[in-house]
Amino acid sequence: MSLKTVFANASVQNNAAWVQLLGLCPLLAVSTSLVNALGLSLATTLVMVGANTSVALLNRLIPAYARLPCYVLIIATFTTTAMLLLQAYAFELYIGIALFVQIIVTNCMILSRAEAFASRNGVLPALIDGLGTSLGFAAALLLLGAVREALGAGTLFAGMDQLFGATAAAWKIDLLPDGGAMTLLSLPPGAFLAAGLLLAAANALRNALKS
Amino acid sequence: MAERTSLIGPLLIALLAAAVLTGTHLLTAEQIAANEQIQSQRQIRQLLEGAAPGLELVIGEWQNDSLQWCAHSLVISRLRAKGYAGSIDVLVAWTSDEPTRTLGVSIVRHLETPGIADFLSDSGEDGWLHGLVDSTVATLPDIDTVTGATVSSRGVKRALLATLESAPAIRDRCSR
Repeated sequence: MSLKTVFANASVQNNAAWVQLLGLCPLLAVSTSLVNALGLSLATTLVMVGANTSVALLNRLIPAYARLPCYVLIIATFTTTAMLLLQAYAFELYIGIALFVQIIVTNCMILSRAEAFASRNGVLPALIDGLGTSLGFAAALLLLGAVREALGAGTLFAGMDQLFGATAAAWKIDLLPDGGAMTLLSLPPGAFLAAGLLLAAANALRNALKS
Repeated sequence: MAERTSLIGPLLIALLAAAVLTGTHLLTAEQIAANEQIQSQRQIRQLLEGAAPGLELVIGEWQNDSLQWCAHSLVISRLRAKGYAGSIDVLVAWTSDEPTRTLGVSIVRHLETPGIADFLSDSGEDGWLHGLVDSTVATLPDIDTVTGATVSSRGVKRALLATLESAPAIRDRCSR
């Protein structure tokens, strides 16, 4: 399998969020705005790529009977690292999404890639697979975040200064007039509605491409 | 794959993990402490704006977990309330003069269940925290706890009550 196929499989064909429906808890909870989605995407990417590469690298040290504890230990290490980095360099964003960064440890998307791919392949394919999986997840998360922020709050790129410093505060775009937003989309039920509609759109697109 | 009973592999991995975490901690600890400091100063400023609007007060040093402005009988205390999953760190602005009462309440951090304990981060006019403002030793016990979060809300109430009851000692510090 070429590295290109590995990447395409991980990011599109087996997209963790829209095809395998994995990692939905953070997907639904953190997609209230683009900045939140971006923050969690970055953290997930760090953990996913780090964990996949380390599992492939350390595979010979991991005995079969203790592989799950070892994987979880590795994933937890990268998650804690991601949390400390967020706390140090994006403190306000950290306060908003801390809980969902912590539960990256239990994200079955990451554990399943470690078990199903990284432990059976070399370091480079594992790295590419990790990158593909997390980019696919990030794309789904950012799309949902953009839709929910645009319709639910009527803005795009609000609060980007939490991640990119004070100058980014000006990136905010106001899309809807005051009071024009559908607050429902910012709330949990709106997350399910928007995710369901996007999932239907993704399926329709896939079927259209097939036929 | 290593031998079935070998523990060396997992131990090595644990050591590696510890090394990575120690490194990251050393790298970020200073910046995180600075961020927390800024956050705390901001919360104190907000409390002061609510409790003593228009006054330009200088934030001094913490003494026995309290900041005190004797000229205005104004106190900000940091307390550790007993929550369900751990401690709830609270900042309260209050007046030490009779009648001793709360002027503003703000939560610094907590470990309570998200969703259930959302009332701890709701600083709005209709929020439970806002309802704690302007209460005295006499009225505080009558404030309802939050349904489904009795332990958390009772913990905050008890901590506030203990603080208000410490008013005589706090006043003494000013007359010294």
